[in-house]
Amino acid sequence: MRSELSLLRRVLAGLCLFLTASLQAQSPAVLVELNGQQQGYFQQPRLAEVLLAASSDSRVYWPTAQLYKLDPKQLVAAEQLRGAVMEQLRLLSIHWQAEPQVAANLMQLRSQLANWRLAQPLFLALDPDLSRTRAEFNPRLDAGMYLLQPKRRPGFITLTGLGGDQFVEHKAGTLAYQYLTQAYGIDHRGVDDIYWLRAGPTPVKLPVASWNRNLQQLPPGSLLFVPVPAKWLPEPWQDLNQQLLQLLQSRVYK
Amino acid sequence: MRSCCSTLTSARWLLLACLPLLSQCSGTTKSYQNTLSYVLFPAPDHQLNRVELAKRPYDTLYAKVGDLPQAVLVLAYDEHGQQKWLSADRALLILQQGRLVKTTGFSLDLVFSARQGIDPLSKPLAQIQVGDHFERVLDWSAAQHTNQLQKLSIISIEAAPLELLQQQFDAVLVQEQVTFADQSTAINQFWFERRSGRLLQSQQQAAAFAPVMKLTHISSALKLLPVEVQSAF
Repeated sequence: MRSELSLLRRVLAGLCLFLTASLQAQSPAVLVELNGQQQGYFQQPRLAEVLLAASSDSRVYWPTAQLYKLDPKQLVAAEQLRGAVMEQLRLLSIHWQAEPQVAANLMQLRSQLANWRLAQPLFLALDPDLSRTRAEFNPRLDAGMYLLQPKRRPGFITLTGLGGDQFVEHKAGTLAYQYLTQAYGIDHRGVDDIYWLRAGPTPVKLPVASWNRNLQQLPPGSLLFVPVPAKWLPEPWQDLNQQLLQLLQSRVYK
Repeated sequence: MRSCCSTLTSARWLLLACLPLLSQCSGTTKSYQNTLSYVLFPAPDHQLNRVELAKRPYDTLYAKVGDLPQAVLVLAYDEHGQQKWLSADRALLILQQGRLVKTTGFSLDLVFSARQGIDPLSKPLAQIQVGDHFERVLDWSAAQHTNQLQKLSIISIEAAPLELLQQQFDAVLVQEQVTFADQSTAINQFWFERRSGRLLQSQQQAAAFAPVMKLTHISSALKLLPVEVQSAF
Protein backbone atom coordinates (compact mmCIF):
# COMPACT_ATOMS: atom_id res chain seq x y z
CA MET A 1 0.00 0.00 0.00
CA ARG A 2 2.83 2.38 0.95
CA SER A 3 4.70 1.65 -2.27
CA GLU A 4 1.53 2.32 -4.30
CA LEU A 5 1.14 5.70 -2.59
CA SER A 6 4.76 6.49 -3.29
CA LEU A 7 4.31 5.58 -6.95
CA LEU A 8 1.18 7.73 -7.12
CA ARG A 9 3.10 10.66 -5.60
CA ARG A 10 5.85 10.26 -8.16
CA VAL A 11 3.37 10.12 -11.01
CA LEU A 12 1.61 13.24 -9.73
CA ALA A 13 4.92 15.05 -9.25
CA GLY A 14 5.95 14.11 -12.79
CA LEU A 15 2.61 15.28 -14.12
CA CYS A 16 3.03 18.62 -12.31
CA LEU A 17 6.51 19.04 -13.74
CA PHE A 18 5.25 18.20 -17.23
CA LEU A 19 2.36 20.68 -16.94
CA THR A 20 4.67 23.40 -15.60
CA ALA A 21 7.13 22.81 -18.42
CA SER A 22 4.30 22.83 -20.97
CA LEU A 23 2.94 26.10 -19.63
CA GLN A 24 6.40 27.64 -19.65
CA ALA A 25 6.94 26.46 -23.19
CA GLN A 26 3.69 28.12 -24.24
CA SER A 27 4.44 31.53 -22.75
CA PRO A 28 6.29 33.92 -25.06
CA ALA A 29 9.99 34.44 -24.50
CA VAL A 30 9.65 38.09 -25.47
CA LEU A 31 6.65 40.37 -25.05
CA VAL A 32 6.71 43.73 -26.79
CA GLU A 33 4.27 46.52 -25.99
CA LEU A 34 3.56 48.44 -29.17
CA ASN A 35 0.86 51.09 -29.49
CA GLY A 36 -0.92 49.77 -26.39
CA GLN A 37 -0.96 46.17 -27.58
CA GLN A 38 1.20 43.24 -26.60
CA GLN A 39 3.05 41.27 -29.24
CA GLY A 40 4.44 37.92 -28.14
CA TYR A 41 7.43 36.06 -29.59
CA PHE A 42 7.88 32.45 -28.58
CA GLN A 43 11.49 32.46 -29.70
CA GLN A 44 13.75 35.37 -28.91
CA PRO A 45 13.38 37.60 -31.97
CA ARG A 46 16.00 39.59 -33.77
CA LEU A 47 15.59 43.35 -33.49
CA ALA A 48 14.52 43.67 -37.14
CA GLU A 49 11.57 41.34 -36.58
CA VAL A 50 10.32 43.53 -33.73
CA LEU A 51 10.83 46.77 -35.64
CA LEU A 52 9.13 45.46 -38.77
CA ALA A 53 5.94 45.03 -36.74
CA ALA A 54 5.81 48.83 -36.57
CA SER A 55 7.11 49.64 -40.02
CA SER A 56 3.81 49.38 -41.88
CA ASP A 57 3.18 52.96 -40.74
CA SER A 58 5.31 54.96 -43.16
CA ARG A 59 5.05 58.02 -40.89
CA VAL A 60 7.28 56.47 -38.23
CA TYR A 61 10.34 58.62 -37.59
CA TRP A 62 12.93 56.03 -36.63
CA PRO A 63 15.64 58.43 -35.39
CA THR A 64 13.54 59.19 -32.29
CA ALA A 65 11.99 55.75 -31.79
CA GLN A 66 12.76 54.20 -28.42
CA LEU A 67 12.99 50.63 -27.19
CA TYR A 68 12.78 50.03 -23.44
CA LYS A 69 13.17 46.92 -21.32
CA LEU A 70 10.28 46.58 -18.89
CA ASP A 71 11.39 43.75 -16.65
CA PRO A 72 10.22 44.58 -13.10
CA LYS A 73 13.48 43.38 -11.51
CA GLN A 74 15.43 45.93 -13.48
CA LEU A 75 13.01 48.69 -12.54
CA VAL A 76 13.59 48.27 -8.82
CA ALA A 77 16.78 50.35 -8.88
CA ALA A 78 15.09 53.12 -10.87
CA GLU A 79 12.12 53.16 -8.45
CA GLN A 80 14.49 53.34 -5.48
CA LEU A 81 16.26 56.26 -7.12
CA ARG A 82 12.95 57.97 -7.79
CA GLY A 83 12.02 57.62 -4.10
CA ALA A 84 15.38 59.02 -2.99
CA VAL A 85 15.20 61.99 -5.39
CA MET A 86 11.63 62.81 -4.35
CA GLU A 87 12.68 62.83 -0.71
CA GLN A 88 15.64 65.09 -1.50
CA LEU A 89 13.38 67.50 -3.35
CA ARG A 90 11.00 67.56 -0.39
CA LEU A 91 13.81 68.34 2.04
CA LEU A 92 15.32 70.92 -0.31
CA SER A 93 11.99 72.72 -0.63
CA ILE A 94 11.83 72.86 3.18
CA HIS A 95 15.34 74.30 3.16
CA TRP A 96 14.12 77.04 0.80
CA GLN A 97 10.87 77.77 2.64
CA ALA A 98 12.01 81.39 3.06
CA GLU A 99 11.99 81.60 -0.76
CA PRO A 100 8.46 80.47 -1.61
CA GLN A 101 8.98 80.57 -5.38
CA VAL A 102 12.04 78.32 -5.22
CA ALA A 103 10.30 75.95 -2.79
CA ALA A 104 7.21 75.81 -5.04
CA ASN A 105 9.32 75.04 -8.14
CA LEU A 106 11.06 72.20 -6.34
CA MET A 107 7.77 70.72 -5.12
CA GLN A 108 6.33 71.04 -8.62
CA LEU A 109 9.26 69.08 -10.03
CA ARG A 110 8.73 66.50 -7.28
CA SER A 111 5.08 65.99 -8.20
CA GLN A 112 5.92 65.69 -11.92
CA LEU A 113 8.60 63.17 -11.20
CA ALA A 114 6.11 61.04 -9.27
CA ASN A 115 4.12 60.52 -12.47
CA TRP A 116 6.95 59.52 -14.75
CA ARG A 117 6.80 56.07 -16.24
CA LEU A 118 10.20 54.45 -15.82
CA ALA A 119 11.88 51.77 -17.90
CA GLN A 120 15.34 50.78 -19.02
CA PRO A 121 16.14 52.41 -22.37
CA LEU A 122 18.13 50.31 -24.82
CA PHE A 123 20.54 52.36 -26.86
CA LEU A 124 20.26 50.49 -30.13
CA ALA A 125 20.08 51.95 -33.61
CA LEU A 126 16.38 51.50 -34.38
CA ASP A 127 15.68 51.34 -38.08
CA PRO A 128 14.21 48.26 -39.73
CA ASP A 129 16.02 48.99 -42.97
CA LEU A 130 19.36 49.14 -41.20
CA SER A 131 18.83 46.19 -38.86
CA ARG A 132 17.69 43.78 -41.57
CA THR A 133 20.59 44.56 -43.86
CA ARG A 134 23.43 44.75 -41.33
CA ALA A 135 23.90 41.89 -38.86
CA GLU A 136 25.74 44.12 -36.40
CA PHE A 137 22.58 46.21 -36.02
CA ASN A 138 20.31 43.21 -35.63
CA PRO A 139 20.94 41.67 -32.19
CA ARG A 140 18.74 38.96 -30.75
CA LEU A 141 16.64 40.35 -27.90
CA ASP A 142 17.00 38.82 -24.44
CA ALA A 143 13.91 37.16 -23.00
CA GLY A 144 11.65 39.60 -21.18
CA MET A 145 9.22 42.44 -21.69
CA TYR A 146 9.84 45.47 -23.87
CA LEU A 147 8.19 48.70 -24.86
CA LEU A 148 8.65 49.90 -28.43
CA GLN A 149 7.76 53.52 -29.08
CA PRO A 150 7.75 54.41 -32.76
CA LYS A 151 6.82 58.06 -33.10
CA ARG A 152 6.07 60.50 -35.86
CA ARG A 153 8.66 63.15 -36.55
CA PRO A 154 8.64 65.64 -33.67
CA GLY A 155 9.11 69.15 -34.97
CA PHE A 156 10.40 70.40 -31.62
CA ILE A 157 13.08 70.17 -28.96
CA THR A 158 12.04 69.23 -25.41
CA LEU A 159 13.68 71.01 -22.48
CA THR A 160 12.99 69.50 -19.11
CA GLY A 161 13.88 70.57 -15.58
CA LEU A 162 12.38 72.97 -13.10
CA GLY A 163 9.07 74.15 -14.49
CA GLY A 164 8.41 70.87 -16.28
CA ASP A 165 8.68 70.16 -20.00
CA GLN A 166 9.00 73.03 -22.44
CA PHE A 167 8.77 72.57 -26.17
CA VAL A 168 10.62 74.79 -28.64
CA GLU A 169 10.18 74.48 -32.40
CA HIS A 170 13.14 72.84 -34.10
CA LYS A 171 14.82 75.04 -36.68
CA ALA A 172 17.70 74.23 -38.98
CA GLY A 173 20.94 75.84 -37.89
CA THR A 174 19.77 76.63 -34.34
CA LEU A 175 22.33 75.92 -31.61
CA ALA A 176 21.49 74.14 -28.36
CA TYR A 177 21.91 77.23 -26.18
CA GLN A 178 19.54 79.18 -28.43
CA TYR A 179 16.72 76.75 -27.62
CA LEU A 180 17.49 77.36 -23.94
CA THR A 181 17.33 81.12 -24.48
CA GLN A 182 13.97 80.77 -26.21
CA ALA A 183 12.56 78.72 -23.34
CA TYR A 184 14.11 80.36 -20.29
CA GLY A 185 15.25 83.80 -21.36
CA ILE A 186 18.66 85.26 -21.94
CA ASP A 187 20.05 84.55 -18.46
CA HIS A 188 19.24 80.83 -18.77
CA ARG A 189 18.15 80.99 -15.12
CA GLY A 190 21.78 80.97 -14.09
CA VAL A 191 22.50 77.59 -15.68
CA ASP A 192 26.01 77.12 -17.13
CA ASP A 193 25.60 73.62 -18.58
CA ILE A 194 22.75 71.62 -19.99
CA TYR A 195 22.67 67.94 -20.94
CA TRP A 196 21.62 66.35 -24.21
CA LEU A 197 19.95 63.04 -23.44
CA ARG A 198 19.20 60.00 -25.55
CA ALA A 199 21.99 60.78 -28.01
CA GLY A 200 23.67 57.72 -26.47
CA PRO A 201 23.99 55.89 -23.17
CA THR A 202 25.86 58.84 -21.64
CA PRO A 203 24.26 62.30 -21.57
CA VAL A 204 26.25 64.91 -23.47
CA LYS A 205 27.21 67.96 -21.41
CA LEU A 206 26.78 71.19 -23.35
CA PRO A 207 28.23 74.39 -21.84
CA VAL A 208 25.84 77.29 -22.46
CA ALA A 209 27.38 80.17 -20.49
CA SER A 210 27.99 83.19 -22.70
CA TRP A 211 31.79 82.90 -22.38
CA ASN A 212 31.94 79.15 -22.99
CA ARG A 213 29.00 78.10 -25.07
CA ASN A 214 29.01 74.95 -27.13
CA LEU A 215 27.98 75.33 -30.78
CA GLN A 216 26.19 71.98 -31.00
CA GLN A 217 23.14 71.78 -33.25
CA LEU A 218 20.42 69.29 -32.41
CA PRO A 219 18.24 66.98 -34.47
CA PRO A 220 14.45 67.26 -34.09
CA GLY A 221 13.05 65.40 -31.10
CA SER A 222 16.13 66.02 -28.94
CA LEU A 223 15.71 66.04 -25.17
CA LEU A 224 17.63 68.58 -23.06
CA PHE A 225 17.91 68.50 -19.29
CA VAL A 226 18.16 71.92 -17.67
CA PRO A 227 19.67 71.33 -14.22
CA VAL A 228 18.56 72.93 -11.01
CA PRO A 229 20.82 76.04 -10.70
CA ALA A 230 23.86 75.37 -8.51
CA LYS A 231 23.02 78.35 -6.29
CA TRP A 232 19.91 76.47 -5.13
CA LEU A 233 21.84 73.38 -4.14
CA PRO A 234 23.59 73.62 -0.79
CA GLU A 235 26.20 71.05 0.20
CA PRO A 236 23.92 68.06 1.04
CA TRP A 237 22.10 68.32 -2.32
CA GLN A 238 25.01 68.74 -4.69
CA ASP A 239 24.42 65.35 -6.31
CA LEU A 240 20.77 66.08 -7.01
CA ASN A 241 21.27 67.06 -10.65
CA GLN A 242 23.25 63.91 -11.40
CA GLN A 243 20.49 61.82 -9.85
CA LEU A 244 17.80 63.69 -11.77
CA LEU A 245 19.80 63.09 -14.94
CA GLN A 246 20.07 59.39 -14.19
CA LEU A 247 16.34 59.20 -13.56
CA LEU A 248 15.56 61.11 -16.75
CA GLN A 249 17.49 58.54 -18.75
CA SER A 250 14.90 56.00 -17.59
CA ARG A 251 11.90 58.21 -18.22
CA VAL A 252 9.45 57.01 -20.86
CA TYR A 253 8.22 59.89 -22.97
CA LYS A 254 4.80 59.45 -24.53
CA MET B 1 9.02 44.74 -60.87
CA ARG B 2 10.82 41.77 -59.44
CA SER B 3 12.10 42.04 -55.93
CA CYS B 4 14.01 39.52 -53.90
CA CYS B 5 11.28 39.78 -51.29
CA SER B 6 8.36 42.10 -50.91
CA THR B 7 8.09 41.18 -47.27
CA LEU B 8 11.25 39.79 -45.79
CA THR B 9 11.38 36.21 -44.74
CA SER B 10 14.37 35.51 -42.59
CA ALA B 11 15.16 32.31 -44.47
CA ARG B 12 15.42 34.15 -47.76
CA TRP B 13 17.54 36.83 -46.21
CA LEU B 14 19.81 34.27 -44.60
CA LEU B 15 20.24 32.67 -47.99
CA LEU B 16 21.12 36.00 -49.58
CA ALA B 17 23.55 36.79 -46.77
CA CYS B 18 25.26 33.43 -47.10
CA LEU B 19 25.60 33.43 -50.86
CA PRO B 20 29.24 34.48 -50.87
CA LEU B 21 30.05 31.71 -48.42
CA LEU B 22 28.64 28.90 -50.46
CA SER B 23 31.31 26.70 -51.90
CA GLN B 24 29.09 25.34 -54.68
CA CYS B 25 28.84 28.49 -56.76
CA SER B 26 25.73 28.91 -58.81
CA GLY B 27 25.51 31.59 -61.46
CA THR B 28 23.69 33.82 -59.00
CA THR B 29 26.34 33.28 -56.37
CA LYS B 30 29.07 34.12 -58.82
CA SER B 31 27.23 37.21 -59.80
CA TYR B 32 26.92 38.22 -56.17
CA GLN B 33 30.56 37.45 -55.51
CA ASN B 34 31.54 39.47 -58.53
CA THR B 35 29.51 42.37 -57.23
CA LEU B 36 31.30 42.04 -53.91
CA SER B 37 34.69 41.93 -55.55
CA TYR B 38 33.96 45.15 -57.40
CA VAL B 39 33.37 46.79 -54.05
CA LEU B 40 36.54 45.40 -52.50
CA PHE B 41 38.66 45.97 -55.61
CA PRO B 42 36.79 48.70 -57.41
CA ALA B 43 37.01 48.57 -61.13
CA PRO B 44 35.92 51.60 -63.09
CA ASP B 45 32.21 51.65 -63.81
CA HIS B 46 31.28 48.01 -63.74
CA GLN B 47 28.51 46.96 -66.10
CA LEU B 48 26.78 43.67 -66.65
CA ASN B 49 26.04 42.41 -70.14
CA ARG B 50 22.53 41.48 -71.22
CA VAL B 51 23.01 37.78 -70.51
CA GLU B 52 24.35 38.42 -67.01
CA LEU B 53 21.49 40.80 -66.39
CA ALA B 54 18.87 38.39 -67.67
CA LYS B 55 20.23 35.63 -65.44
CA ARG B 56 20.11 37.68 -62.29
CA PRO B 57 17.17 36.69 -60.12
CA TYR B 58 16.73 40.21 -58.78
CA ASP B 59 16.25 43.56 -60.42
CA THR B 60 19.45 45.50 -60.78
CA LEU B 61 20.36 49.15 -60.46
CA TYR B 62 23.62 50.84 -61.34
CA ALA B 63 24.56 53.60 -58.92
CA LYS B 64 27.41 56.01 -59.44
CA VAL B 65 27.97 58.29 -56.48
CA GLY B 66 30.11 61.31 -57.27
CA ASP B 67 33.43 60.25 -58.77
CA LEU B 68 33.34 56.76 -57.27
CA PRO B 69 33.19 53.74 -59.57
CA GLN B 70 29.74 52.58 -60.57
CA ALA B 71 28.27 50.00 -58.18
CA VAL B 72 25.77 47.26 -58.91
CA LEU B 73 22.81 47.07 -56.52
CA VAL B 74 19.97 44.57 -56.22
CA LEU B 75 16.35 45.25 -55.36
CA ALA B 76 16.12 43.86 -51.83
CA TYR B 77 12.65 45.10 -50.87
CA ASP B 78 9.76 46.60 -52.77
CA GLU B 79 7.33 47.78 -50.12
CA HIS B 80 5.15 50.73 -49.13
CA GLY B 81 5.69 52.30 -52.55
CA GLN B 82 9.44 52.31 -52.06
CA GLN B 83 12.17 50.38 -53.79
CA LYS B 84 15.09 49.49 -51.52
CA TRP B 85 18.32 48.76 -53.37
CA LEU B 86 21.09 46.91 -51.60
CA SER B 87 24.79 47.07 -52.41
CA ALA B 88 27.23 44.27 -51.81
CA ASP B 89 28.65 46.15 -48.84
CA ARG B 90 25.10 46.36 -47.46
CA ALA B 91 24.39 50.01 -48.01
CA LEU B 92 20.79 50.70 -48.91
CA LEU B 93 19.41 53.29 -51.32
CA ILE B 94 15.68 53.81 -50.93
CA LEU B 95 13.83 55.36 -53.84
CA GLN B 96 10.27 56.52 -54.20
CA GLN B 97 9.15 57.27 -57.75
CA GLY B 98 12.84 57.10 -58.59
CA ARG B 99 13.73 59.85 -56.15
CA LEU B 100 16.19 59.20 -53.32
CA VAL B 101 14.26 59.38 -50.02
CA LYS B 102 16.46 57.49 -47.56
CA THR B 103 19.80 55.74 -47.22
CA THR B 104 21.43 53.44 -44.69
CA GLY B 105 25.04 52.33 -44.38
CA PHE B 106 26.70 55.54 -45.56
CA SER B 107 28.92 57.76 -43.41
CA LEU B 108 26.25 60.43 -43.74
CA ASP B 109 22.78 58.97 -44.20
CA LEU B 110 19.59 60.54 -45.38
CA VAL B 111 17.37 59.34 -42.52
CA PHE B 112 14.07 60.98 -43.37
CA SER B 113 12.29 62.97 -46.04
CA ALA B 114 8.81 64.42 -45.91
CA ARG B 115 7.08 65.78 -48.96
CA GLN B 116 4.85 68.82 -48.97
CA GLY B 117 2.77 68.73 -52.13
CA ILE B 118 2.66 66.22 -54.95
CA ASP B 119 5.92 64.99 -56.37
CA PRO B 120 5.52 65.42 -60.16
CA LEU B 121 7.42 62.14 -60.61
CA SER B 122 4.48 60.33 -59.03
CA LYS B 123 2.29 61.34 -61.98
CA PRO B 124 2.11 59.56 -65.34
CA LEU B 125 4.77 60.89 -67.68
CA ALA B 126 2.23 62.57 -69.98
CA GLN B 127 0.86 64.58 -67.07
CA ILE B 128 4.16 65.98 -65.83
CA GLN B 129 4.31 69.65 -66.76
CA VAL B 130 6.86 72.41 -66.68
CA GLY B 131 6.16 74.47 -63.57
CA ASP B 132 5.07 71.52 -61.43
CA HIS B 133 6.67 72.01 -58.07
CA PHE B 134 6.77 70.77 -54.49
CA GLU B 135 8.87 71.01 -51.37
CA ARG B 136 10.41 68.49 -49.08
CA VAL B 137 12.15 68.51 -45.73
CA LEU B 138 15.15 66.25 -45.26
CA ASP B 139 16.90 65.04 -42.13
CA TRP B 140 20.42 63.69 -42.46
CA SER B 141 22.18 61.70 -39.78
CA ALA B 142 24.33 64.68 -38.73
CA ALA B 143 22.50 67.13 -36.46
CA GLN B 144 23.69 70.14 -38.46
CA HIS B 145 21.99 68.75 -41.54
CA THR B 146 18.49 68.23 -40.15
CA ASN B 147 15.31 70.04 -41.11
CA GLN B 148 16.72 70.94 -44.53
CA LEU B 149 14.01 72.43 -46.69
CA GLN B 150 14.39 72.10 -50.44
CA LYS B 151 12.21 73.34 -53.28
CA LEU B 152 11.90 71.43 -56.51
CA SER B 153 10.39 72.65 -59.75
CA ILE B 154 10.15 71.09 -63.21
CA ILE B 155 11.94 73.36 -65.68
CA SER B 156 11.96 71.39 -68.92
CA ILE B 157 10.59 68.29 -70.62
CA GLU B 158 12.18 67.28 -73.89
CA ALA B 159 13.00 64.33 -76.11
CA ALA B 160 16.45 62.93 -75.36
CA PRO B 161 17.40 59.57 -76.81
CA LEU B 162 19.26 57.44 -74.28
CA GLU B 163 21.64 54.60 -75.03
CA LEU B 164 21.67 51.68 -72.63
CA LEU B 165 22.62 48.04 -73.26
CA GLN B 166 23.85 49.08 -76.69
CA GLN B 167 20.31 50.04 -77.61
CA GLN B 168 18.83 53.42 -78.31
CA PHE B 169 15.79 54.21 -76.17
CA ASP B 170 13.17 56.76 -77.14
CA ALA B 171 13.42 58.72 -73.92
CA VAL B 172 11.96 61.88 -72.46
CA LEU B 173 14.23 63.95 -70.25
CA VAL B 174 12.49 65.69 -67.38
CA GLN B 175 14.68 68.30 -65.71
CA GLU B 176 13.94 69.93 -62.41
CA GLN B 177 15.67 72.66 -60.52
CA VAL B 178 16.28 72.01 -56.88
CA THR B 179 16.94 74.86 -54.47
CA PHE B 180 18.67 73.68 -51.32
CA ALA B 181 18.41 75.07 -47.80
CA ASP B 182 21.50 77.24 -48.36
CA GLN B 183 19.81 78.67 -51.50
CA SER B 184 22.30 77.01 -53.85
CA THR B 185 20.73 75.19 -56.77
CA ALA B 186 21.26 72.11 -58.88
CA ILE B 187 19.54 70.44 -61.82
CA ASN B 188 18.12 66.95 -61.37
CA GLN B 189 17.52 64.90 -64.50
CA PHE B 190 15.17 61.97 -65.07
CA TRP B 191 15.05 59.97 -68.31
CA PHE B 192 11.77 58.12 -68.93
CA GLU B 193 11.06 55.70 -71.76
CA ARG B 194 8.39 57.51 -73.76
CA ARG B 195 5.93 54.69 -74.45
CA SER B 196 5.93 52.90 -71.10
CA GLY B 197 6.72 55.92 -68.94
CA ARG B 198 9.28 53.81 -67.06
CA LEU B 199 12.17 55.56 -65.44
CA LEU B 200 15.44 54.45 -67.04
CA GLN B 201 18.01 56.78 -65.56
CA SER B 202 18.36 59.71 -63.22
CA GLN B 203 21.00 62.09 -62.09
CA GLN B 204 20.07 63.67 -58.80
CA GLN B 205 21.53 65.53 -55.89
CA ALA B 206 19.83 65.31 -52.49
CA ALA B 207 21.70 68.15 -50.76
CA ALA B 208 24.19 70.88 -51.57
CA PHE B 209 26.84 68.93 -49.63
CA ALA B 210 25.91 65.56 -51.14
CA PRO B 211 27.52 64.16 -54.29
CA VAL B 212 25.55 63.83 -57.50
CA MET B 213 24.10 60.35 -57.81
CA LYS B 214 23.60 58.75 -61.21
CA LEU B 215 21.14 55.86 -61.06
CA THR B 216 20.52 53.58 -64.02
CA HIS B 217 17.51 51.26 -63.82
CA ILE B 218 19.17 48.71 -66.01
CA SER B 219 16.68 45.89 -65.38
CA SER B 220 13.85 48.18 -66.45
CA ALA B 221 15.77 48.93 -69.62
CA LEU B 222 16.33 45.24 -70.28
CA LYS B 223 12.65 44.43 -69.85
CA LEU B 224 11.73 47.04 -72.43
CA LEU B 225 13.81 45.32 -75.09
CA PRO B 226 12.19 42.72 -77.36
CA VAL B 227 12.73 39.17 -76.02
CA GLU B 228 15.05 38.21 -78.88
CA VAL B 229 17.25 41.22 -78.18
CA GLN B 230 17.26 40.57 -74.41
CA SER B 231 18.96 37.22 -74.83
CA ALA B 232 21.28 38.17 -77.68
CA PHE B 233 24.97 38.64 -76.99
